[in-house]
Amino acid sequence: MPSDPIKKLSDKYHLIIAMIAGLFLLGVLALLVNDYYSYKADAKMQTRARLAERAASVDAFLSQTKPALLAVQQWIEQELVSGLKNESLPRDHSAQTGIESSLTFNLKLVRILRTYNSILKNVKGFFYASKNTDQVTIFPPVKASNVNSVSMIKFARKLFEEKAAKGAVKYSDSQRIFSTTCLDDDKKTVLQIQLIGIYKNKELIGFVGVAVALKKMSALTAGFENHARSRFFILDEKHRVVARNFQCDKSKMLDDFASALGHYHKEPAFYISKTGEPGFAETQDIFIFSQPVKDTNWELVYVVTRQDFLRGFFSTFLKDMIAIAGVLVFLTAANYLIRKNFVLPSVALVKHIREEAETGDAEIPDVPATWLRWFRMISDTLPLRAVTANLPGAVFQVRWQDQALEVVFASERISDLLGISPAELTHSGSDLLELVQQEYKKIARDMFALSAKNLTPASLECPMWTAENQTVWVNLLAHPRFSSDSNIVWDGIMLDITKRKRTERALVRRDAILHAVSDAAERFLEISDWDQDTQKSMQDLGRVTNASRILLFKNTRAAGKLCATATQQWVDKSTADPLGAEMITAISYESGAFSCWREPLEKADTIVGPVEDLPDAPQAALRDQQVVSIAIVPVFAGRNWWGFLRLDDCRSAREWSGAELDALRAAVSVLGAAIERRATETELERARYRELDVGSRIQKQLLLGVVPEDIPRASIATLTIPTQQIDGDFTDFIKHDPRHIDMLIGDVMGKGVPAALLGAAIKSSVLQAISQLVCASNVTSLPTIEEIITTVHRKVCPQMISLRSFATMCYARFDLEKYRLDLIDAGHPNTIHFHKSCSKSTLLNSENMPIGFCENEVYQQHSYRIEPGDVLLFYSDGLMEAKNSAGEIFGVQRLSDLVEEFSHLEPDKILREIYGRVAHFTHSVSFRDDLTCIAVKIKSPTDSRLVHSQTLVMSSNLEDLVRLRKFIKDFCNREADLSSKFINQLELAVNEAASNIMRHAYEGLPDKQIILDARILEDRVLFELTHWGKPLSQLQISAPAFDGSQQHGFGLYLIRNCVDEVNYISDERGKSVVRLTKLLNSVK
Amino acid sequence: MELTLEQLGDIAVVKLPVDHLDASNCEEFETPLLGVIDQHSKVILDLSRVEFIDSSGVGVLLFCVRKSDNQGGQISICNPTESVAMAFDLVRMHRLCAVTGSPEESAAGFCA
Repeated sequence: MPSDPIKKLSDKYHLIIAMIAGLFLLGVLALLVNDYYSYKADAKMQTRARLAERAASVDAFLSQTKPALLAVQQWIEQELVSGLKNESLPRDHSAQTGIESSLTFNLKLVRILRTYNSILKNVKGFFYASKNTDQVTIFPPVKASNVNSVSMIKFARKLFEEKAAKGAVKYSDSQRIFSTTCLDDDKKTVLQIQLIGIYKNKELIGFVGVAVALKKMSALTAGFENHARSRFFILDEKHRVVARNFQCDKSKMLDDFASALGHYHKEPAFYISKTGEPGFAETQDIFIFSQPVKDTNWELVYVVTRQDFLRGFFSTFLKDMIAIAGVLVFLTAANYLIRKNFVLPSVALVKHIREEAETGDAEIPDVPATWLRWFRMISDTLPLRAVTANLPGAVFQVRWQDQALEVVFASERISDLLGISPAELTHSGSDLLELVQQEYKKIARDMFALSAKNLTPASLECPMWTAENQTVWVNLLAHPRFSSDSNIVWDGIMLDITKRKRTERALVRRDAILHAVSDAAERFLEISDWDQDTQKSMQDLGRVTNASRILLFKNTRAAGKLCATATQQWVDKSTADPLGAEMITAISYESGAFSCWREPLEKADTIVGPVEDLPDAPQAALRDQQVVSIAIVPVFAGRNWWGFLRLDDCRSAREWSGAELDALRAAVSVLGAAIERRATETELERARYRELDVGSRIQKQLLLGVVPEDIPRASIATLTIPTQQIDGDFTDFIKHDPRHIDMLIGDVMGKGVPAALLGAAIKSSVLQAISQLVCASNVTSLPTIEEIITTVHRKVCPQMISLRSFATMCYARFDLEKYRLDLIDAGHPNTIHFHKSCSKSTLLNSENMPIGFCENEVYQQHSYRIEPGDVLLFYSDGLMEAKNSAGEIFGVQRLSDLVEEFSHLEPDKILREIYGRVAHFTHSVSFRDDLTCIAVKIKSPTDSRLVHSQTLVMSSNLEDLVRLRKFIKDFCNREADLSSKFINQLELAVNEAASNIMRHAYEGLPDKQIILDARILEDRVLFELTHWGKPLSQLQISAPAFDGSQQHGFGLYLIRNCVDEVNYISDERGKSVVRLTKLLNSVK
Repeated sequence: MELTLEQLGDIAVVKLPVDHLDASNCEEFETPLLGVIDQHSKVILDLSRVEFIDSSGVGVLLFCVRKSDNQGGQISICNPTESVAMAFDLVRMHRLCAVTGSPEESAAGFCA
């Protein structure tokens, strides 16, 4: 038989084609084998990851119902424990035992569950079963349950009892929830059943459970209706078949098959099996896919015939065509290989892999997994990319890799946000955290670490760097999950919140600045110390603006050129001063780097922003000073351009927001107002003093006495503000000796020359009266002031009456020997007496009539005790009656308050303050009446002759008395003249006083403080014991009994007999002083 | 506080073993001193070591003197230092009990 040449030819071609096909197939085969091994290598990891993800998803679901279940558990336990209900709770709604109690019970349940409203819509019912009876109680939840659950509950109960039998249910773990998934009795609904134990006296007595409807069964099986030849079955967590859409005779075999598959494959995966697998009557190729049922421990397994698959069955499951293309390439090739009798993964293989995974010692070949990765990348990211391009923010996917967040995917929008293209980010495997700005890096890292640990979403607002090194604020929100390679992957979104953040920060800073401004304003109102106040205000401002340095420049002229000199500087201590000690002292407006500032500043414009945006000249100069960003706000005092305030930021090139600048301008305007006020006040004060000078000279000559000098125990100052016309105020001082001074202040009714003359007449008649009385008297003592005034009155009264005039007068005698003030007040404004001892002022009242008012007036003197530190203020009514624009008079109260306020000052300073306040009050430099004022401050007898002083700080512990006595002895022994008796007496007296303070003032508390101030003066020794306990007083006057009948109470007696004077002084703030004085020439 | 007694015939001589007798320590002496007075009808208190006494100390001594008086006993104080003597002067201690310059002088002062 001849050969057919054509056939031969065709055979030849066949051969060539077969060879080409063979080569191609070889390539494909190589790829496939490669991939198979890589798949196998990944399988173990995937399994674990899937299981973990599954558990997390179920946990997440549980966490929704857990609080409700726990609340019910607690409530039932309480009901049981309280004994109201026995172990048997009311049965279900068809209750046999008392509908009422059942109703109450259900009502309570509803009340408890109301809190958990969000989960109730899916709750089918709660049920309770006690351990030892068959009784099951179903509580209907909010809406009537249509669940038909007897078998379900039995199922749950069986599970629970199994666990209980294994000892898994324990009181110590009473909040543990057991969950299982099952089908409702009608086989239509998938239920999630959660159970928790009920304990009475720590004994498990039953359980309470909740059944939550997850989804309809029909939803799970959708897609299979039209694929009659495709099969599915659903496996529970023990790989038992709970549902299937086909009949199978050999159910045992099916179970094995399912178990093998279900155990292993918890992700959508596919296997290609040879024919002859169970459930398939005809021999054909099948594909097996498995997929977890969300929120459950179930597995949905698809068994698909090749025909169905090729009909595009998968398009219903994997919505993305591109992904499918990838699958198809593989499957088509695989299908081809199957035909060529290549055996691909089958049940046997699955089992094999499982065993390997379980024993864990199988050698897994190290085969590159490129193809699978490629496939995964396409299927994971391509659909995402298309969708995310249209979202408002950037969508990203990152994974945890070597302590970094490697960017796996980023949507197109990322380039708008960060200026980096998605490709750049993903290809270089950039760390997302690297883009987060330094101060937020740790927070971000921690946040993601926590998110990975708990599988909770990561959410963070943080600043990030763009490609151009700009700051962009983003809101990151990312949900973690396990990736197929058991790594953690976050799918997240990144929103641009820069604008909101900037506004937010600016507003916060503005508020802070305004707060500082109001503080500064308050401070400047007081103006106690200009430099200090300014410094404090600048410090506040620096703190709130986060500036590195603040400088206050004042415009000055140097050699005819306008320049600015720094008057105040504040530097943030936390950043080293870049200029060091070298302070920026002055800048010139006329020439040099800063000359360009003159024009804008003069026009009240601000100069703000990063230094790099400034013109070249100042830019260079500021760079030298290491300033990165600057804000310069001109200061105007009234309308005059006074200078400027400069805020430097040496750290960041910040932009100053409008809100911040507004606040800064407010701060500067406060500063300007303060500067202006300060200038005005200084000027006003000067003007007042100039004008007053002329008028006062006239009055001084005629009517005003000269303050005597060399009065060691008092200091005296006078103030007179004459009106333009001559007024009748007069004063005089008569110094009898350094310790006896008479003082006279008066005011003749009316004004002008007659008043002045009358004033002069009274003054001279006083002097006359004194000399007359001294001469007439035989004794050496001074005439009393009663006598003096009575004499004067007798003399001038008739004339004054005939002139229809009178004079108010105050006559005071300071006895600085006895520290006594004798006073006659003839209708004059009440003298203010400030008592140092109690820091209070009193008015020295008197009822005498003015001189020349009534011929029969009998003048009576009053005596007052005065003490060192006391201040006496004598004044004319002109001062008290000074009025402000509203017609309100200054008044005694204000005056008296002022004396208290300034009592620590010397008399001339006190008067100056008073004058300032009165002038401020009246807003005027001229007054309707003369202002005459005398202030006398009483001095301690030896203020100037202090020989020696020393202080001891001791505790109120009685043990410290030893130390006290040693101190006294040492102190006194410095003064060689003191006799030992003198010292012993002092020692005893001070010891007694201290011991009294310890036992009575401090009531025996040992840890209080006592301060002993010891002074040796020219004529006396003074010990002052200061304490803060209960004030002591000199209660006991009479001597105690010394017959032994009395054991206590000698202390005060001893003190009084050892020293010359004992004073108890206490103030309102709880400070008390016991002062012991012993004269050096003491007779005791 | 332990007090050391010296017998001088039938007289108990107590030398107070401290350099001060004040509010911080006088209470320690009260009980032992009263104990001595209970047991002895004639007691001499030697204060030669006491450099300082305050009102509390004086109070304790006065109480002892009174107690001894009530029991028909006798107390004499000897060797007060300058400071103590001054305090005694102030409370007129000598009116209640003898204050002498030495134990012997005190002993001589006791009635038989």
